Amino acid sequence: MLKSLLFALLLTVTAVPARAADFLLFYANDVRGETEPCG
Amino acid sequence: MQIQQIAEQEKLPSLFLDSGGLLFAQPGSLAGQEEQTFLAAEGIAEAMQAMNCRAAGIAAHDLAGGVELLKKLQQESGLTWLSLNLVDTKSRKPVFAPSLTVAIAGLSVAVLGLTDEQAVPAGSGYAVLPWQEVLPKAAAAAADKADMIILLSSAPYEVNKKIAETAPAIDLILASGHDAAMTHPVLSNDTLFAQTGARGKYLGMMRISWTEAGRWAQDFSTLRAEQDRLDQISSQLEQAGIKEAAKDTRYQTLLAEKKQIELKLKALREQRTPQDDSLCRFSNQFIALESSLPEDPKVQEIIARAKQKFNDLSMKRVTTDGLAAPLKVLAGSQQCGKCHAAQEAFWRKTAHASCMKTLISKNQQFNEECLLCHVTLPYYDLAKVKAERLLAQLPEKLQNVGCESCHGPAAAHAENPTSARAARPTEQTCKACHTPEQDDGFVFAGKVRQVRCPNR
Repeated sequence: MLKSLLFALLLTVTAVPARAADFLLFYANDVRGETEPCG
Repeated sequence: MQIQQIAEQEKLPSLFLDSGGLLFAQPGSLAGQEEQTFLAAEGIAEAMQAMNCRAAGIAAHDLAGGVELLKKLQQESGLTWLSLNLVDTKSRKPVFAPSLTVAIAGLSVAVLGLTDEQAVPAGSGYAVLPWQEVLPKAAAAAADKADMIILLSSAPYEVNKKIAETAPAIDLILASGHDAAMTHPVLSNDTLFAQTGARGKYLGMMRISWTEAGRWAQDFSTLRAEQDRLDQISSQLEQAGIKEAAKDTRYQTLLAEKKQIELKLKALREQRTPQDDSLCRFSNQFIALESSLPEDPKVQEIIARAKQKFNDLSMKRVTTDGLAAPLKVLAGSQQCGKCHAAQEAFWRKTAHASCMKTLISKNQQFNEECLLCHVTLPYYDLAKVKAERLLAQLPEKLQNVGCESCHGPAAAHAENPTSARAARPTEQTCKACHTPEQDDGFVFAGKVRQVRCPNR
């Protein structure tokens, strides 16, 4: 019983980091018809 | 394009979005250029689809050819355009899909589109509804099903801020239009705002770490953004290396900006506090799309094909009806060389003398926006030059940046050298073409030394 209690306490005390979903977001805007910048 | 390579290197799934203003250089009508501009737009839409752009917002520029044209482009390219509030005036229903749901990294991401209310002229059969009528409800509905909501908005910044206050369910607003200034993500009311610069010079890349908390942690990417800008300015100042720095306005402006950024960085570094690991995080950078970076062969092929079609069509339209009246004030550099041989010989060795060849090598010789600054003209007002069709009938002697681009029209001077003297160019002369948009590293005092002709 004591072992179970200790185990349960251990689970609650140990901080489990929030699981994160990682991804890359690429974004563009106002290309305005440009296929190749001048200059 | 480099997107796939970067995603593979980072070993992360990726999502590519465009917030609007993709297709046409100017909002409003394409009068007289419909066929050619459609070909270019078709190529761009096809290229974006090949780069796996999942959705694009609709801004005023995208509607320059009309709503029907955009619908046709969507159908032919397969690229998805989004707008909650661009509607048919009769049915009041959206003409394009209002939103899209994307599954990525185990998340469900809702992408909504919002069009600027000024984008469509009255009487066209279409209207743009005020965002208050459609967006809050759409955001609330999306929040029920999606883990994250991204809005592609061509509304002005102040409107986007109000949107963030009214619809806090929106996590990220990718903006377009208006000043199209590059803006590192800014947090306001737990909504992130971001925008990259215009003309496709930079691509924004955000690494997002999304948690169940669904709220953003404190933003440290501003510090990185300021450091990047400081590095850029330091490099420009070093390259300028000019002796008369005190007189050069651009040099002084850069120097002042450098000092401001140094103070800002110091303050930012003192502000840092520990982060809460359970919140969502991001880091952002802008990738300069330099021509030296490797291109995707498929995309290259699409763009090359579009340019060729554009040029073939333009070739058919070139007229040879004689010199247009506004061009008769120009003599051509060869004429100048008859009296100013040393100056003409010097000019021939500068980049100005071969800039038409540069344009041809990139298959852009019929792109009027590029052509404007690669030829000799009496003025450099694109709208006026287009209206007078000067570029369609430009003789070979004017197909470069010649003497008269800097010194002004010289046909009268060639006729009578003593009565009409050529002008002396100023910094403003150069900046008609060397704009920040086309040449953001341009420092007059440094660059003018490369093209200043020797004295007689």
